[in-house]
Amino acid sequence: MSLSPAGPNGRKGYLEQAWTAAIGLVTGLRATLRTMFEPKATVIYPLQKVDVSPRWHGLLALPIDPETDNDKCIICFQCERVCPDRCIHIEATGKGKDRVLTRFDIEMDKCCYCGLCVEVCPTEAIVFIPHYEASTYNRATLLYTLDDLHRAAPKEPIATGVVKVRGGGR
Amino acid sequence: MALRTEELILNMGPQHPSTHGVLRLIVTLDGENIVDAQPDIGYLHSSVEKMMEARTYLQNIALVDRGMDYLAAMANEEVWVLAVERLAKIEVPERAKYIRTIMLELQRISSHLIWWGTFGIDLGAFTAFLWAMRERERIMDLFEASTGGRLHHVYFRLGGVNEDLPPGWTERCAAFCDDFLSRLPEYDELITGNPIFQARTKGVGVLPLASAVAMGASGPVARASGLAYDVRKAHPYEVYDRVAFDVPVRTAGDCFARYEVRMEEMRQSVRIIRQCLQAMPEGEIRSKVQVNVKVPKGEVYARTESPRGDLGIYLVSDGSDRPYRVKIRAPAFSNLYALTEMMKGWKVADVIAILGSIDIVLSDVDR
Repeated sequence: MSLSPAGPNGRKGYLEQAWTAAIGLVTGLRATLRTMFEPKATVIYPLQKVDVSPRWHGLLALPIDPETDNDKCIICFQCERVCPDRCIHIEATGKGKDRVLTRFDIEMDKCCYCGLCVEVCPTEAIVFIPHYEASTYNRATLLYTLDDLHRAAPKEPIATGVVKVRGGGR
Repeated sequence: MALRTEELILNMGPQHPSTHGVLRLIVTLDGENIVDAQPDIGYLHSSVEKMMEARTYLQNIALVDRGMDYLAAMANEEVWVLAVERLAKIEVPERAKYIRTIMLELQRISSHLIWWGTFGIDLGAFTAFLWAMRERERIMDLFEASTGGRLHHVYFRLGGVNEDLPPGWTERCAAFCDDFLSRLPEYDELITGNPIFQARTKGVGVLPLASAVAMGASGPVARASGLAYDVRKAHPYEVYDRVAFDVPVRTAGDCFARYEVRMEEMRQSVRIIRQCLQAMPEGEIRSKVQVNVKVPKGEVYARTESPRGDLGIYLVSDGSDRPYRVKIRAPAFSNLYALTEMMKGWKVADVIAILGSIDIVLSDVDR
């Protein structure tokens, strides 16, 4: 620290320095006080949630096409190939028009939310959904199977538990 | 009778709140004075360079985002796509170049805001951090609207960007620029003009110009020592040769000079963003590039000015769809090694002030 007691003016220099420091503190406190009366920038998170943008890289889902009442997936394996973390696993049976998905697993614990699978999908079968609370207590629940991806909702969202605890306490 | 003294070796970190990650500093002390300070790194090593050899050129964009400097993810994407585009001779549409420049400068502001806030915390001013986060949140919202991610964007693509800017984005960005410039005088009032802050930073941790060059320091650290070098001016990329901006240079080389350089850089970034928003043409944002693009055999070195300094990638291709070898020249690594020069002769209380003024990200140091 350069606030040395043995300044050029000795004891007087020390007092002067303390005085300028005090003025600096008052200036800073004035600035913070002014900010106190501005609108709040924060939200009370688990009780209040912020909206995310439509392009949000959140959880992945395979929404069911209302026209055909089935997946849009044409089993081209492009998403499986492009995934940098290799967290998508697809299996299918049958040939031609009878080809059906038997397995579409996404290991969400490996996923890095890069969105390359969404980008390469030719039929927009795999999409991002604006969910962001995917924390669980158990790693096994982060394996999203075909049913989970159809439901397009996170398993055991931890934040709902937090809301209950907070709400009950008050 | 002479008093017997001996040097004390003090370990700071790896778990220390002010080392901005996992950095261990081995400080040799003579009483309160620092005789030597050696950084011990490697706690966050993720072997990004090796991992990149196993992934395609497109997949690597997602990797450099998080494997390198995570506070300026788009600066990493930029240097990677720049290297691949130069080697594969991929053309980038004009609009994409402007979008990239805007994003890079927003990223620079957001990275400098984090540094400003944590530097304040290091020196005992907590308000700075909350204020910096408040402004940074608006940049994060802008990123979220256009890229979908807040920290890891995966927005740049070989030959352009992923998606065009959403409607109303340019207006929001311009409004942010205006608001941010009106906030900066408040920052000066709170921190820059504060006598306690000045007493703790002015003249502290001086890095002479010769040492800065010898240690390979770059970015704001070198510019605060008087080295007028900015990759954006020296080797322009994207549209930096078409916008007017100043490169702030100080000669003092102390913590306060580094502080001043970064504060001025934020103002210059706003200036660049405003010019880009004005001049941005309509049109294509992405040229056609295969998903598994094969890059011709050869090697290339691309360099950019990341918020921390001269960020470079040396890429060797063997003609396949994956890089043969990638070497990353990380600015924070070189800047960290100038630390020993800065620290010698100062008191132990100045360690945190000096370390905070370099603005390191350990993920960038260790890679």
